[in-house]
Amino acid sequence: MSEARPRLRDRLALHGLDYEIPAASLRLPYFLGAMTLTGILVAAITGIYLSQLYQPSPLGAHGSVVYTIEQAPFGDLARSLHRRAADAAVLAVGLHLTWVFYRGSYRAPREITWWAGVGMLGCLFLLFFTGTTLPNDQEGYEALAHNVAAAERLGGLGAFLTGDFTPSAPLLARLYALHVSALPLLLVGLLAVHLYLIRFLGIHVVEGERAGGASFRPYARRLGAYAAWWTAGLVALSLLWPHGLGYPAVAGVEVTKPPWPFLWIVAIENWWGIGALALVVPALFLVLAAVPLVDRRRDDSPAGRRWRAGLAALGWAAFLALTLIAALAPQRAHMGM
Amino acid sequence: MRGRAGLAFASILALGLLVAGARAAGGHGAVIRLVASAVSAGDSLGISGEGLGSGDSVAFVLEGAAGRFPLGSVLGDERGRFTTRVLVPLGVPAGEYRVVATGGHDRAFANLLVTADAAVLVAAPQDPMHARADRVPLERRRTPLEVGVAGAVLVVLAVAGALLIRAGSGRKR
Repeated sequence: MSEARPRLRDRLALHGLDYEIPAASLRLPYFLGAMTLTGILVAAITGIYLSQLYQPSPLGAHGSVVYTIEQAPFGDLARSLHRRAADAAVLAVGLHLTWVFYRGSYRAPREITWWAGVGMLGCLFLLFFTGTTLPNDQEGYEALAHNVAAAERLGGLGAFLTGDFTPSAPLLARLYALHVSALPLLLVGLLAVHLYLIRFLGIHVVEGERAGGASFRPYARRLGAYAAWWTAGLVALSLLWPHGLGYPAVAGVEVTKPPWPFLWIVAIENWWGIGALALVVPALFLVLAAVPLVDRRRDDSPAGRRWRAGLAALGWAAFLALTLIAALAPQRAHMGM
Repeated sequence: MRGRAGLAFASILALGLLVAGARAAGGHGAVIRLVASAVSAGDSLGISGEGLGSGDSVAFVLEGAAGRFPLGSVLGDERGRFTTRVLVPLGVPAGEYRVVATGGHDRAFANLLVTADAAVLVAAPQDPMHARADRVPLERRRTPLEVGVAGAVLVVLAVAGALLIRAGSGRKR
């Protein structure tokens, strides 16, 4: 046994984990990216099982989800875990983004790391959105109708996301294909770039922090522990708070509100109409992408961090306020149905 | 050889005359054009045409294996010309159809593909009064075995996490 461990360590090249990282990075906020990844992995594993039960056609989708919940072995648990993992990934990525922004870790030479992260955020956003449409219940149908309405306002750019793109396949099936193939592939590609750059550019340290002082191995061990606890929490949530399913959709009406990551958009739609959807979401991602281009200073002064903390707090306050306003507002139609 | 060639030429000529004659007799130049060759149920469809009656009402019907669906009508001018938009009703099943336009004694048609889309949801009655925002009450499958396995996974993960943390702090000492 004592000989087996070093042999295994050699064969798995575990010595590669013994590189130096800043001692400060053993703190909890530095694990938010890893917690996002954990959520994504749990969603991917449960998604593989769910894909075996799901029928991606407008007429069969809802029935296949009902079957998954009521009859398929572990179907209800897998579906609930899939959704809770997606919720957790979105929450963790929001907090991760806030921490990275507060630290100013987007600045040279880490602009591409930041852009890869913004790209992954976009992928997660689209994965969550396409996932919402799949059950083809009232909420999913209305999400799809919003998707079409926003895509039509983008003209040629949005044609791919409308039913007019091709008569040979329903839009629902095409969104499902995106959900299980193109978006995960893009996410993995961006993740590879993100992790590669973090490994070789190193973890950003600010003034007064040591560039080294710890090894990656204890970080990896702690990461494993947090990931295990995070997943255990998601399993517990899935048991206690199973994910629901709406009634089969009725076309031509708007009676539901979207899941929490999209509620803030509803508040804006209530004020400025459906067109806001096609403007505000791309604008948000453009602003995020522009951050390293706007803030090109090199100093890591506490004053700069205070500014960024204020901006981040403002962003979260706006998100929470808009979410609350949308949640409390009476249901309104945005598409002139 | 020359005789066969002559026979073939005569056959082709006869066939051509037959087709031309049939076309001329069929609609007196009645023709309709669709803006799109494929739409989803619930979408609007642009139609233009000419030669359908003279100042008559032109009625449109969608015909296919799933049945006949009236699309409405429009008033043509003295040459039977018109341009209009009709609504393909929700609930029309996906499939191949033809739009038949009838004005006076003239008829014309054009093929149309109605695509299956999320807008076509025949699983529920297409009546806005039936739309519901709440959740379906479902008999969730939660067998004791499934709950037991989930509970075991939860415990294993919690313990594994604790062991990893302990191993890390042990190494420090």
